[in-house]
Order: sequence, then structure tokens, then C-alpha cells
Amino acid sequence: MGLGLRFWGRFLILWRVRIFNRPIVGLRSGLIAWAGGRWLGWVMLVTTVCQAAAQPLAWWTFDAEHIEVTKLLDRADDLHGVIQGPVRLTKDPFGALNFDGTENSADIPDIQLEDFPRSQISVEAWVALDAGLAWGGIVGCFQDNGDFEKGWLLGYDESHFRFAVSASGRLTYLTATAAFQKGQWYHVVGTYDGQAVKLYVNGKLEATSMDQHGDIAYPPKAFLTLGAYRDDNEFFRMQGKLHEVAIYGRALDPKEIESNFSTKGTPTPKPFAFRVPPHVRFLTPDTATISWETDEPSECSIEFGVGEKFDQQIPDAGSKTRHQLTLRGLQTRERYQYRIRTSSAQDGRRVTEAFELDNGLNYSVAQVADSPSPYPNTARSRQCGLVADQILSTTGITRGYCLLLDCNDGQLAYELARRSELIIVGVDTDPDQIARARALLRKAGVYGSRIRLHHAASLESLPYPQSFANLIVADGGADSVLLPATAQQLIPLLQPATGVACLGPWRSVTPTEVKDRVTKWLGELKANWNFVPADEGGWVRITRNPPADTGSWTHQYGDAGNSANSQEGLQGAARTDRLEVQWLGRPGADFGIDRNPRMPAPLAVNGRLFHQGLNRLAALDSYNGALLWSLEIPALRRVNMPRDAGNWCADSEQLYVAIKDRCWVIAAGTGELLRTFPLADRGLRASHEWGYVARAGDLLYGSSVKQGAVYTDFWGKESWYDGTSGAGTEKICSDDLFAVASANGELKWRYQGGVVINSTIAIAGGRVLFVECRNPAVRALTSSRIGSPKLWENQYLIALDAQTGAKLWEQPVDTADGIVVFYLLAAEDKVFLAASASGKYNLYAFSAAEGKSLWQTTHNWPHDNHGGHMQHPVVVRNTVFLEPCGYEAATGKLLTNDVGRHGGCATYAATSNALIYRGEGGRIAMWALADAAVTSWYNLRPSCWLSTVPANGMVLSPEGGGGCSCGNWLETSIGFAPKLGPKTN
Amino acid sequence: MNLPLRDSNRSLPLVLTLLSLTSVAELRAPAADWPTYRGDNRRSGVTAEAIRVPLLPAWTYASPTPLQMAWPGPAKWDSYANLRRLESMRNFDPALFVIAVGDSVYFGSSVDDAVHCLDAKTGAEKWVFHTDGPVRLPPSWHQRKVYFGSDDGNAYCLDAALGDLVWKRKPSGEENLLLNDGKLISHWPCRTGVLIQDDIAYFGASLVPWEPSYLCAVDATTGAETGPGRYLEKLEHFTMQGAMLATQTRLYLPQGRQQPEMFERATGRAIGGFGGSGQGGVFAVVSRTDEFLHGSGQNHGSDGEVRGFDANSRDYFVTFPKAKRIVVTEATAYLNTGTELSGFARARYLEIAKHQAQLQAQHKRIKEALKKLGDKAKESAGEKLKDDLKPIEAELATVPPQLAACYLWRTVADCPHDLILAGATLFAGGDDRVTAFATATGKVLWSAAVTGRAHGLVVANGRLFVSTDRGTIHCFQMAAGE
Repeated sequence: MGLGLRFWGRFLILWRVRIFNRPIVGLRSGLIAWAGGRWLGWVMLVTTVCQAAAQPLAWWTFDAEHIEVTKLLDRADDLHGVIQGPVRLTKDPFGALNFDGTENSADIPDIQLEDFPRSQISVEAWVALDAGLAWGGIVGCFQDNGDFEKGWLLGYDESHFRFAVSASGRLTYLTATAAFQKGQWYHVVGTYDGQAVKLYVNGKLEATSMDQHGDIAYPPKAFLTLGAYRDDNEFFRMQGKLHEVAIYGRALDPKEIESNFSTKGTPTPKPFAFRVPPHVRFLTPDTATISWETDEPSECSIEFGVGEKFDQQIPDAGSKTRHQLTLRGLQTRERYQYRIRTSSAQDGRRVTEAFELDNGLNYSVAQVADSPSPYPNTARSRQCGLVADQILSTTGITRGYCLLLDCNDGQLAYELARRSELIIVGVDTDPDQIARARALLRKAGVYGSRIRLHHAASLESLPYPQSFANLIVADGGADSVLLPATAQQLIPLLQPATGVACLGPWRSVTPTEVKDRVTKWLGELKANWNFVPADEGGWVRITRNPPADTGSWTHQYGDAGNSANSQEGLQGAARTDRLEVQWLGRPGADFGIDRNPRMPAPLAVNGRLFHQGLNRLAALDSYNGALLWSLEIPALRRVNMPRDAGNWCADSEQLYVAIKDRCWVIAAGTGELLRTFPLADRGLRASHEWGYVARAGDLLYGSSVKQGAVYTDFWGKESWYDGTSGAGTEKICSDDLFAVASANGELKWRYQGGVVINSTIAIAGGRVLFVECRNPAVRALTSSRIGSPKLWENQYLIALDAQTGAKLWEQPVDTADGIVVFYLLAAEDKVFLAASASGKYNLYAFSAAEGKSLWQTTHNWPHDNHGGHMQHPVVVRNTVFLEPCGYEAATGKLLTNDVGRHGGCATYAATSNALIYRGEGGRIAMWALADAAVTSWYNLRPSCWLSTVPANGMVLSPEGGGGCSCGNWLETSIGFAPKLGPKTN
Repeated sequence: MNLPLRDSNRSLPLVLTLLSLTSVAELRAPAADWPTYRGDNRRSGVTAEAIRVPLLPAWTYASPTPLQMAWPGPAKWDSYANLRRLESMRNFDPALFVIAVGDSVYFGSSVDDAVHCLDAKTGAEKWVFHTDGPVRLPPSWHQRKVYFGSDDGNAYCLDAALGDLVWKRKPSGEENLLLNDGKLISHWPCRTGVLIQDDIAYFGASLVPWEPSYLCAVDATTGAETGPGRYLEKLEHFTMQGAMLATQTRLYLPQGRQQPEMFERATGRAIGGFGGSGQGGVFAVVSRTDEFLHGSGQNHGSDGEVRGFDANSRDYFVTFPKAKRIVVTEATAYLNTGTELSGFARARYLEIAKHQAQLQAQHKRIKEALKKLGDKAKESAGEKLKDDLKPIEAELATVPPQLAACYLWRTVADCPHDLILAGATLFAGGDDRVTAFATATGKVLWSAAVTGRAHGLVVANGRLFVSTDRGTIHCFQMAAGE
């Protein structure tokens, strides 16, 4: 019972008598006079008789009228709150407070739990969520700490609203049947009448439980927090909007709830049906396209602006399913938001949640101004234009670095820049030519942004890094058939994967003469060349091969077999001091999520490096760091790789990315979205998402996981995923596996058996290998994120024919429970399982041919934190490494227990000669296989999982650790190349 | 015409003396040059010139393409530690910072790898000197020469009037270049600028901390590294970047995310760093009373901060939370947090802050001793320590009101990007705006629109130059007759 007394002058005001937890008549106010030291008696008494049951006991509305600076007024009584963090109000369609997921929530201080409703309760909210959470709260007063579960919570998980009450037992969590749509408004009510717990969404009953009875059991102390899930152990803030929250002292009946919902007049939101969710592709520094597909033909428009404004609009004419709009005039380094407004006959008008377009992460090259050339219109200018056209059409190289030898007056550089996205480095031996050309190109506004010219004493010795040039050309001037420099100097500068040297034009020269000259020029040098005829002469097109020991990193752990080994030889380099910085620069820490959530590994193949950031990805040239393209995809995110499979893989021409229920096929060279493949089983497309993704032969492999299972949270210590059990260690599992033709998505086979553990799926030697659980209780689970101990029962190791999906063999397996992590690695003739739990790594070997057990061993974790308990094994030739041990693959014999010790959370990647990992001082280190020597790069930090990979003849380290604000980290992306000669310094 | 009469390191003592002896508001100091980054080698951001507002737009220079900063932006957040709004600690080149001497304005460019000299009256180009790499910091002017560093690894000396090369020095020697965001640069770019003091040119050449760095002191006239006080030091584990600072005996080098380092000026010997791991940042000032004020990085803190240390002992004594820029004079210090501008009594404030730091250190030591005692903390030795804590805690509780009492004024000011002092006027840089405030009251005196975030402010010879992140340089000047 609460009694409010306050002096006002000589009057004592009795302003409240409250019994919060009882729906009975209440005495609201009264007035007693006090004067001259004597009570004058009742002068006035006003009682407000209120039927508390009909009114909320507490009622907060998040609008300007009911928020005073940071004070949140209780419209029903005096449970006023305090808003923590920024107060950002919106009005569309209700007055509402924006919750950013990290900084703001509303606390009701000084609560008296004994006043809280006990026999009955209703909790009501108008809410729009921008993100799900494993443990999300709208309003709650509870403790959920291990076995201790008391109180109540109106909240949500990754995809559904929830209501929880504890009365006669631990909290009963009710989950709505329908998933919520991000950005849409919902009316959510949870009720408890002493017998039944019910959850209503938009006026409709979604779930009921009879598990609780009697009075609500409150903990001794608890928070009453709005916009967060908060108890003593957890504090997860909401990302979205709250319009209103009310608490009643009785269970509202369905009619009242329906009425309350209808009063606001907000139509029931229907899921915004993207067939392919939106993605942004940057075209120029101030231009981007946004593309998406809808299930139904619709008319769309885009609203966008800087910050939280949507003050610009672009309509898209006509009703259609494939949409693409171009935004122009984007400001440098500004961060925009956009949303899509649609109108269709079927669904009426709707608007999506807001998506980010960060032009600060637009890496497209500066455009050459569409203004008159700084060069006079002469025969030479026309010739340079023609030559530029022929070079670009002959080679197809339009991005990356172009080395222009004998750049003369810079005119060919200018014409090449105008026609492409190339960054042109011109070199000439005449300093006066360079000075004149610089002046002209500066006048045209392209010097420095697209073209740089250098003076060199001789073209025979250029100070440029090996393998850097995507295109090498020469301005032959009048005498076009002189081959520039020496081949021994020039060809090593050529990017070996896709680079082309294009020399010419060769006029009035017979094919035989061309062959003679080129053959002589190349001498002993190994290079490939051909002659491409063209108008007014032809072109010699030269390519080179990468070193024989060049490897690729095409999947999460290097290859589809999860070996964590790219087979990269680095030309013998096994120490950091045998490598030097080849390129350095963007993307930086602003591109990424942060170091902690254990993101998917970068991929590198065919001279291209692919790097994932926060809902975005980028392709760089592995050899020179040139940004080839980038995409912003709001629906792209997967974290906690140790408990899932990667969300992407690559081959030499295409990138395959699992996004929602589809796999996107993206052109590796341009970033163009070529096509999307849906899940194999049409019946799962509404309920499942694309899980595993891999490439082998001419097939693309996938799996289906239930919606909302994949880890996407990255905020807070909980999203470090470093636990030894419990939340964050649950395994993501698939309900099927399938293969489609990588060319066109044609279904080749589908396997459906038990529940497949994603971290165990591997492809090698023509087999698809995995571990599945056939426990009926596990198969009956409604989530694909499985922490049940039954996952470790009824397990089978299975091999399918990779081409046909036919089962080759299966073996029951009974490993140690992989509570922390559970991995499978497949080699040509062996399969390895690693299970980590209870202080130990357990490693098992099987024959790949029939699944026969070969050996098993165990050793202690080096640590139970910072990834010391969850390392992924590495296979190098005949050895399986799992920190700190190396075992003979054939026998399990311990070969070493001295593998370079990790010094911070990350896992190992292998070259042919070394392991790369996070070593002492948190630095990226190398452990040489030959002599166990440890070397490192001072203050270079990787992400908390796998962000540095050896591939394409390089060690590639796209930025992964810059969010760690406590260190001296370098905070940028770097490519290291083997030192081929001593660097002067 | 105001002849360039003084050197970068010699002007401020006179200015401060004048400031301390004269009613600042009434002082009408003569026009003065701004010969180096932030005006002098202590990077004070102060000129005695009492420029009168309102000012009128004179001319604008616009870069043809966006600036190409050396580093990408900072992380959006530290999500593990629940921190947002992390400040960049490596943004030493967000604008085309200028110096102004006489009727010339000089700036280096990350866009076209050149140093430009413009006519201060008209903005017309006088000369351009190209290097082989971006020039990220403005030149220093000294005895009719300009000095600057380039990402090509060289420090340069040019004739200030003609732009002709006098000398250049590349401590790393010949090398294979590396690729950096569309550019070919040295493995040892010169990103410290070139600082001139006592006819010696100081500069660093450095990039990644696993490679050795160079700290150089060469003859300003010839570029020679021989002679007293000249050297070429090869140092391990440094990453020198941002404008170097100097006092009579010390050099100070910001290092991006690494904490700044102090060196002995005479020898180049490294003495030690300021602050702890992660406390980087490239904004730094050494006050006339030898406080080293440095920011605006963070160490598990949001929104930046400026930290104060004794510039000789390196002892920490104060943190200004959320601070972006600070200007310090003999009597008054001015703090810009991005949302608030304030003036406070410098000496008194710092005296209290230093005492507070001592108390905090004592408190920490006793707490640690208590912790070491463990269960024995309840015994007599522990009780003694607890008793020792009480007066310290009581005194610490009195500090905040004492510090608050030091403030002369505080005013709302949304201009986080820069702060300088010209006579009795503070100029602050905001988003698309530059604003002038009265030093005595904090009252807004004048404001004008610019294009972009105003990161670089310079007052010289009757003009205000504003450099923005859009690559523009706005020149404002006093109305005719002023």
C-alpha cells in the first residue's frame, strides 16, 4: 500500500492512497489544513473513486507530451521513469522513442515489488522492432539466472514476440506463432489470470500455456525496465521503437485487447515480401544503385536522406517485381538511410524499415570530369583515344592499376582514365615531360585522383612492387613496335592471376616478325602471349602464371574440406620477416562489425580478395589492394562461425553468398548480382534460410536452416561467443542438404535424414561428409539453433556421393560431446572430428572410404577463454594440428606439443610451411613448420576468429580488429608478399 | 604588406607576454603570420593578431576531387565494450591545412601530391611543386623557405617565393614502393610534417610499427645531417604520424593509435610515451607552462577526450572528457567538447587537477595494498590503510566543486572540429560553419557558412582561412578600412 503526503503551504495534501497490486477502489486525493499548530480538520476532501481494474496501473507513452527531457511520465500514477541514453523521438505513425540497441532504455527507479500485481496481470505494448535478439525485452520485471526464474517479461527473440510469467514454477516463455517483421508496428499483450498465460499480437491470441497457477512469484529484487531485457546477469537493449507500454492489475479479456488494438487504427502489417532483399552497389563516388525484387508486382519508390531524414524521393515507374533505382548526388563520406515504399494491388501501400547506405564506404574511383580535354584536338589525341579503346577492348581490364610506360605527355593516360576505372601510374625518363603532363592533368582535375606520373632514370629499374599491375601498356608514340624496358623487368610487375600486358599497336609487321621480336624480348621468361589483330595494327597480349605454389582460400576454412590450409607456399616464406607490405589501406575498421563476433573468414582466389563487413562486402585485388567493387546488403550477416558454417564461398569467377532463403551468385570481377538460387525444397522457402554453402566441381551445395536460427548478434560481451557452454555455444543445424548446378541452380540432389550439424559439413574426395543427429527429440525442435544435450545422442557420420547425393556409407559415432565446438575436416582419405568440452580437445580420425575409426586422442585446452577452448584443427600434409599439438594424420602419433601458442581469440590458418595465428601480444604471428620459429607483426591485430589468410601468393589481412579500443592496433587492411630481394632501408 | 619577419618558434613568448600584461579585449595586435601547423611548434593555435569580425568572404579554393586521407575512419564502435562514437586517432589530414605568411598561403595536398602556393588576396595560384606522394600536412615557413614531408618518403625544402627545390632528404634511401589506396608510396612516408627550430629541420619517416622508423634532424639550410644536434635515428616499434611538436629540449611525436612519444631534441633519444595502450590521437599541444595536452582518442571511453601530462616528467594529471580541442594561454584555457565551449582559469584549474591526480594516485596505491592484504584487511594493518583512505576520499570529494569554480564561462557550441585563438576572439569550426566567440564571455560574435566540416582554422594578416573536409579553403577577410 502506498500513501502520498505532501505539505503545500500550511495545507497537508493527502494526494494518494494506492494499492498497486489490488484492482479495488482507490482513494485518490484529499486535503487537510494545518495552521497555528493545530489541525483544522478536513477542509476539503476529494476522493476520486476509480475502478483500478479498468485503468492501467502504470502507463507510459513515448511522445513529447509525456517525456520531460529524460523523464518519462507515468500517465496512470507516479511510476515515472528515466530514459537512459539519447532521447530520439519520432512521430510516424505514433509518437515513439527510438531505441538504438546499445545506449538507451527507460528505467523505472525505486520500485516496490510488493506493490506489483500478483494474482493477475496484463502487460501491453505498441512496439516496432528493428532487430531480433536471442533475449529481447520490451518491458519486464524479472530475474532469469540459471535455475532462478521469477517475475514476468514481455519480450521477443530473434524473430517472435514472447511473454513469460513465473508463478508456480520457473518462467514459462510463450512464443508467438507468427514472426514479427522488422520495422512494423505491433500491438503485443501478455496476460496472466492466475491459471493461464496468454500472448496476443495485434489483437489475436497467439499462444497459451496452463503451466503456471497462483500468484506471480517475484524475485526479491528486480529492475522494471522498458526497451531492454534486464536482470542481474543480462542487459540487452532493444533496437526499435516504443510508442506505449501499460501494466494492468488484471487479465484483460480478448475483447478489450481487440478493442485496444483497434483503437489505434493501425492496419495489421503484412510481411514485406522481398524476393531478393535490397542491396546497394556504388557506381561512382556520388552515385549508387539500389536493387531488389518483390514477390508481387508493385510500384516502388525510395525515400532517402542523410542521418534520420528521408527528405529525398525517387519513384520507380511501373508495376514490376525487379526494381533498380539510381541515387545521384550523394555527398562524400555521408551516411544515408533509405527505405522503400511500395504500392501493390494485393498489399496496398507499405514502407520498409530503414536501411543504411554509407557513402563513406563508397570506394569507387573518382570520375574524369566530363569537360573538354586539356590536350589540343590533334592527330595524336585522336590516336590516343583509339589506342585506349583498343587496349581496353583487347584486354577487358578496366579496374585496378595500369602501368603506362613512356607516358610522354600523359595523353594516353588521360584517355585510358576517361574510358575506365583504372588507376594509372605513368612513368617516363624525361622529367620535363613529366612536369608538363602533370600540369595538364592537374588542369583536367585527374592528377592524383586517377593518374600519377613518375620520373625514372631508367625503365630498366622501376621501384614498383612485384605483381602490382593489372594492365601494363606503353605509349609507343610514333614508333609503336619498340618493346619497352626488358621483359625481365616488366613481366614480374604484372598481376599474375588476371593481369595483362598489352603492347602495340603493331603496324606493318608480319606475324612472323611479331613472333620473332616477342620471343626474343621474352627470352627465358615464362609468360603466355598471343597476337590480337586490330584495325591499324594488332596487339601482343601477354599474361603470366602465378607461382606454382600459389594457393586459394575459397571457403570458411580454406577449402570445402575445412582443412584450414590454402596450400599456399608463399615461395618458401614461413616467417613474418620474410614477407613485406605489398599494399596497405582501405577497408578499415569502419567497414566491419567489430572483432568480437567471430565473423566469416575472408576468401581469396584468382587474384581477388573478398571481405565481409557490417552488412556489406567488398572485393579487392589481392596483389595491389585496389577496391574492385563493394555491395551493401542489409540482410547479410552471420556470426559465431565456430558454431555454424560460413555464409559464403568463391571460385575463380563467382562469389556465392547465403542471404536469407537464397544463395546470391555474384560476378567476382564486377560485383554484379548474376542470379539467386532459392532453397531446394519449395516447401521450406517460407520457413527456412540458406545455411551451408560450398562449391565443388560444377555443383553448388546448400542446406536449409530454420528462420531465425543463424547467429547475427554482435553487441556486447555475450556476442563474443567465447563461452564453454550455454548461450552462444548452441550449434546451428540443417534440416536437409542439397546440391544444385552452379551454372543455373538446377537441383541435382537433396538429402534429408537427421539434423545435420553445420560445422561438420565438408566436401573432399568426391564425398560430402557430415555428422547428423537422429534423435527424435532433436528433430522435433522448432529451432535450428540447438543446445540440447540430446544433440550428442544418435549421431552418425555420413558420406554422400558429392555428385549424386547417394549415400556411400554411414557410421554411428559416439564422440565426446562437442559442447564448445564440434568440427569435421575431410581430406582425400581421412576424416577428422574434433569435439571440445570439459577442458579437453578430443580428436578422432576415420577412413574417408568407409568411415572406419582409425585413431583418437585427447589433450587439454591451453585456456578456457579467448578461444583457447575452441580452436579449429589444421591439416598440413601428414599432420593434424590442434593447439598446442600436432598429430601424425595416419596414426595419431603425437609429433609436437609446441605449436605456437595463441595470444588472443583467433584460430589458425595454414600455409604449406607455416601456421598463421594470433600470437604473443595479440599480434598476427607465424609458426614455421620446419623449425618452430615464431615471428610476428608488431601491433597487427586480427579479428577474434579468422581474418588473415594465406592465398594468391600473399598473406592477406583485411581489417578485423580495429574496434578493439584498448590497443595500439594498426586498423587497416594489408597484403603481404614474399620478399624476393632485400628491401633497402 | 606584412613581411614575414618571424620564425615559427619565436613568436609566441612575445604574444603571451602581451596577453598577460594587457587587457586582451582591447589589444589591437599587429597583423601576424601563421608560419606552421597550428601557428607555432607547440601547436598552440594562438595568434596575437586581433582580427575584427564580421569578416567577409574573399575567395574559395576547391579541390577537384575529394581528399584522400591516409587512413580509413575509426571503427563504428567497440561493440564488445559497449562503446559508441569512437574517435579517429589517425585523422591528421582531414583537410587542406594552410599556413599563411605575408600575402602567400601554402598547403600540401593528398589529392595531387603537391604543395601549392596561393596569393592570399585573390586565391590565385602562384606556384605548385609536385612530389611523388601525397603531402598530408602543411609546410613550415622559415627564412623564406618552406619545408614539408611527402608520402614519397622525402622531406623537402623549397624556395618559398618560387617553389624551387632547395634540398630533399629521404632517410630510407632507395626502395621498392608499396601500394596505398591508389597511390605508390614509400614504406617510410614522412607524415610528421617538418618542424624547424634553431635552424634545424626535424621530421620522422615511419609507417608500420614492425618496421624501423626514422627520426631526423638536419640542417635547415642544406639538409645535411652532420653537425651538432643533427642526426638520423633508426628506431623500433614506432609509427610516427601527425604534426610533430617541440620545446626547447624535447620533441613530441603523435603516433596514431599508439600513444605519443617524447624524444630528446638534441639527440633523438626516445624518452617515453604519454598514457597507456590505446591512448593515441594526433591532436597535441604543449603549453607554455609545459603541460602536454593530447587527444582525442579513447581507451575504453567514448566521444574522445583530451588528457594532460607534465610535458617533462610525463606524469598524468587530468582528463577532459569528450574534449576535442583545447587552447591554452597564460591566464585562461579554452575547451571545445563539440557541444560546449568554455573558458577557465588555467593555472588554478591545473593546480587543482594535479593535486587531484596525486590524491587519486595515493588512493589507488592504498586500495591496491588493501587488496593485497586479502582477508587480513580486517586486521590492524588493514584498518590503518582504511583510515588513511578517509581523508583522501574526503579531500577528493571537494575537488569537483573547486574545478567547477574555475570556469569563467560555458556556452553551447556545436563546433567540434577546431578551435583557435586570435587576439580576443576564439574561432571554432563546425559542420558547414565557422563561428567566432568572445574570449571574455563566450558570446557568439560572428558566424559564416562554409562547405564541409571546418577542420582547419588559421588567422593571419587580416584574414581567416577555413579548411574543410570537402577539400575547400575559404578565405575571409576584414572589411575595407578595418
